Amino acid sequence: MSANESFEDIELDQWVATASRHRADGFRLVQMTGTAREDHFEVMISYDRNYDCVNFRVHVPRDRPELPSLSVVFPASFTYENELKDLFGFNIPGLALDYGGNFLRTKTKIPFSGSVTLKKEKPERAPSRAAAGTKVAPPTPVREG
Amino acid sequence: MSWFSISALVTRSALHRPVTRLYPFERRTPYPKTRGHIEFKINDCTFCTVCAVKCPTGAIVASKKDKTWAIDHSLCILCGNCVHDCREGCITQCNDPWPPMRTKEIVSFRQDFETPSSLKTPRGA
Amino acid sequence: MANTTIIPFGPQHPVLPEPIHLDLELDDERVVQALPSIGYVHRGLELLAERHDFVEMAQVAERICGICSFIHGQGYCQGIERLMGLEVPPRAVYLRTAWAEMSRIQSHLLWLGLSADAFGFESLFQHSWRIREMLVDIIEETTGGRVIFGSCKVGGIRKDVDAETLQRVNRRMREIEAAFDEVANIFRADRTVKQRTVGVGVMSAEDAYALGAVGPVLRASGFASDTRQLGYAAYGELEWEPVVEQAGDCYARCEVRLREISQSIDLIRQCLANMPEGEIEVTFKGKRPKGETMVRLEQPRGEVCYYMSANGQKNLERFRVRTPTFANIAPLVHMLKGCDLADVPVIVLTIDPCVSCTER
Repeated sequence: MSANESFEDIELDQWVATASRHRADGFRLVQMTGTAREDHFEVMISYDRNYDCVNFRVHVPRDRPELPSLSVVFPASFTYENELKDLFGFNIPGLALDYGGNFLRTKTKIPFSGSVTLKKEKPERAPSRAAAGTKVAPPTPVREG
Repeated sequence: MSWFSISALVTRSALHRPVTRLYPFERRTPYPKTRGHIEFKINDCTFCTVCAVKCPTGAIVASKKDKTWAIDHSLCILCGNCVHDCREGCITQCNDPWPPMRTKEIVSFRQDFETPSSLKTPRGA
Repeated sequence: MANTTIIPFGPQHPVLPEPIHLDLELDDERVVQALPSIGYVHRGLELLAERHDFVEMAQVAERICGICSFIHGQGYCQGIERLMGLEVPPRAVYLRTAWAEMSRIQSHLLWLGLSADAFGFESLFQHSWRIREMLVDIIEETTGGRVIFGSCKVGGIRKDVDAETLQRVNRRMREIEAAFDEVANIFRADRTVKQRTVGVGVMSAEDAYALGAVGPVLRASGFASDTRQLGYAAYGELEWEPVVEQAGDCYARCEVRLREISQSIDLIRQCLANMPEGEIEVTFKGKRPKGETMVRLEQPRGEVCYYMSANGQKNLERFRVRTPTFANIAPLVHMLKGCDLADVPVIVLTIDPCVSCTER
């Protein structure tokens, strides 16, 4: 299964052309994903035909995250593109069905763009160190039958 | 004919005793592998706090200084990491399911400094 | 455009226990357009993978979804094992396959029950879940958990299953098969089921493929595509063929799932019969995942993709999950066009939506 797996870097202007070529060759859109790297965004797209999966990657600059839409080529790409928009803050010209950043409603806007740090929220603890010796609610499981 | 199949099944289940159990009165014996709840024996514990560090939900709090160990059963997801990583073997996974909780149930233990044998048991001895 | 009405459907709907919202544009009783929106339960699990130890993350990965829990864990572990170049012992591989098939059966039975409930066949719903309960008992006996199996870990499985238990599982599989055949006959023969599903939500094979449908939705339209054909785990050594139906309507999708249950029972039997002896895990002391990979598995709901990228740290650089429901949203919108309002819940249910794992 890993034998027929390839990752290939392409230029941003090849994005739509690659999609059209694969559509014409009978490939299916498997998925689209973004990755936040240090100085750029990486968008990967996967096509599949007869269980052969090919992956293409483009680098998108962080200061101008813009990616042409594939809505014309693959109508199903709108879900992935809206996801890129909501999680990474991409601007996608030509998007057929634009939710305007409301496809995935997140508490923090564009959370995956790399500027968010995880707040370690320690769960509330009932026993403080001083009171730890006192037994809190000793549960006696009822066992019948 | 399309009515017959379901009516045969319905008639049979009407005559048969229910497949469900009258839950609080009648209980299935847990399987030997069932992840029921975490049990702790304090007299072997060295308070190394490895279990507290390894706990993914932070359900276990242990203190080396006070010689205390506490588990919050409402946070525990029964992953078994603490059982696996305990070097003294004082944490075990018991196959009895923990009874339903209405509030947070935290069971705390403290090792007595003078008489280590008089340990506190979780099951309200 | 004529006078159209917009009816909001969900996120809380009596038929559909999933937080999906649809804006249905209606012309009289007919749906002109459907606009889905999700995003009520985004949990940010992908981000969590970038902050957690890769070994511990297997437990989080299993909790992406409550129904396909095991296969999420399996997919994550397979990805990490490939990044580290680990070879999982055959016994672990076979047990994983058996458990994956068990989780497929329980998911399909759950779906059959829910869909029977959706078209108002309550007793069939209860009977489907009765059989599911028998299977969940087996899962609990072999792994220790009913929903979260917790038995998959990086490098193998956590606990072995002894020969006696496996024999008992084999015997119980026969009981389940007998009980299931009876219920399956009702699904196939009963008029109530046919009236609500035949000819509803039809999608052609071309449309399904072009819109990227996966799993039973694609196979019910006559396209034999099953990611298990890649031969991951033990599937390459077992004998089976993808289940295909031609009609492309809701009834065909129901039939695909019915036949897949029988097939999964058969696959479990093959796994038990060929169960190799030996180790159940490999150790990887000090090794760290490095590189990138794309793992594809077949879940009860369809193909799932995991993209993993690691740079030798103890946490992954990127973990991306594309769940089957995400791919099935676009086909759903297509199917809903032109259907009756009363059929909307049935059609939405036939893609077996799992919105919580779609949003991760």
